[in-house]
Amino acid sequence: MSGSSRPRVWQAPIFLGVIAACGLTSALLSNGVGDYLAWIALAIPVAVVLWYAPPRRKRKHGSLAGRERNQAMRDAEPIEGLVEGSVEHPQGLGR
Amino acid sequence: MLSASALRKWSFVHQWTSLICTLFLLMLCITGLPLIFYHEIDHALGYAVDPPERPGLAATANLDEIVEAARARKPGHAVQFVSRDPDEPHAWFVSLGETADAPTPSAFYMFDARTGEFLHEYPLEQGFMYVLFRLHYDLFTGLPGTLFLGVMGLLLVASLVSGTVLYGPFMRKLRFGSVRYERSRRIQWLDLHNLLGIATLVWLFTVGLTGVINTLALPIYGHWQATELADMTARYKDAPPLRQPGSAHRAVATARQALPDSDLSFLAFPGNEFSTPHHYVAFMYGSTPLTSRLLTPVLIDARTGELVDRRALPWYVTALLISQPLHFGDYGGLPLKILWALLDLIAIVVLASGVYLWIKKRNIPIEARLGLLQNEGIA
Repeated sequence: MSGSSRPRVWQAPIFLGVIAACGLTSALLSNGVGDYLAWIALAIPVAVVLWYAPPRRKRKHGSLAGRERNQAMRDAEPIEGLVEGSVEHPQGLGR
Repeated sequence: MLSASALRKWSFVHQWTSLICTLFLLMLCITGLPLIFYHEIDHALGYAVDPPERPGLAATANLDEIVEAARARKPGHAVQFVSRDPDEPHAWFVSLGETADAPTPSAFYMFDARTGEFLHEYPLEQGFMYVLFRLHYDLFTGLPGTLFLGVMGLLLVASLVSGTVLYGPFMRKLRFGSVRYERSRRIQWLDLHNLLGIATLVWLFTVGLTGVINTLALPIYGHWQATELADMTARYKDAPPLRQPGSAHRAVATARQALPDSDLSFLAFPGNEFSTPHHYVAFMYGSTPLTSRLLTPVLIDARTGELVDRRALPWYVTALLISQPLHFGDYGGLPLKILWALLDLIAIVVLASGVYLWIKKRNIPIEARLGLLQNEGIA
């Protein structure tokens, strides 16, 4: 099981790591082309973060509906946090 | 797959290395953000100026006259360094100290390299950027503060390594980049922490490690001076003290002649921590992008202006010199600085979410956290 899942987990991180390392080095070794490569290479991790981090819009609900749903969830969270806290703390005291 | 006990150990390492350094790392990230644009901000605030346009004039002013003019502005103080900036080819910079070997400068002047005219006095130890710099550099406490921040940087490196080890098991059932917004806020921030951390890992690691190396600058130069420099100048040990150093202009000419493909970065005047009581030391940079970051010291007899010796810097000084651009992000133009700032902002989110996750789940054992994850994967 781990044999098949490990490459998948590490594929993107290794790719991003190699790209960033190339970018960090290229501007050091060459001006002009090296700088352009560095800009592209280091923009990739930033772009990846901006692409994946925001809430995904659920296509089947339509984009607006998805956003509203997420907002509703965020609004509901303080209550969830309270519940979690009240469960966790007695455990912590017990240990 | 990690065993349960190995996982617990890595989790312990990640939690504690992060907790100890996070507060300082947050401070470093926040103060570091404007420091990326130090040069631009200094110019915008008028702390630094550009030399005036003088088409057709070459940088041929006599350095000795510039040095004299600088001395006249600060009587009784000693000239410590004259320096050049590859980005400001029309300027000479002169820094003075109360004594030849004073650890901090008492004045920093800019002169026109074409006419020898005085252009600007840099304000020292004042302004918002100076406060940010000192916080970032040594917490206003000198070498102990710098070394302390270096230890915090080492903890960051340990935290990045352990965090990377933990990324595997936590992401086993998830696609890359998954952020489970439909789950509790804690899970959302766990996913964001993992995503932002792993996407910027190599940059974080590079800036962290080069920051640690930079904190060792003073010990590194001290070691170079005590070993290599002392060795190069051993035969001057018993020479009578120099009353007045000879021509700096000639010293620079000698250095340029010795290394025709290089140009001067800075010239250390006799008696300061980068030279000896009997020598000028010219630090020359090369002409390729990489060698322009490296320095070759050229020793010049301060009395006669003749070449004494030149040697490439040892590996540990080279490592320090390479670490500087990789930490500052100042080696690829303004776009690279902007990317540095964006990556720094992401780092702030990683740090802050780490604290949030610790507050939220410090009482849940790691097996439970992972177990929860596995059930989700099956469901």
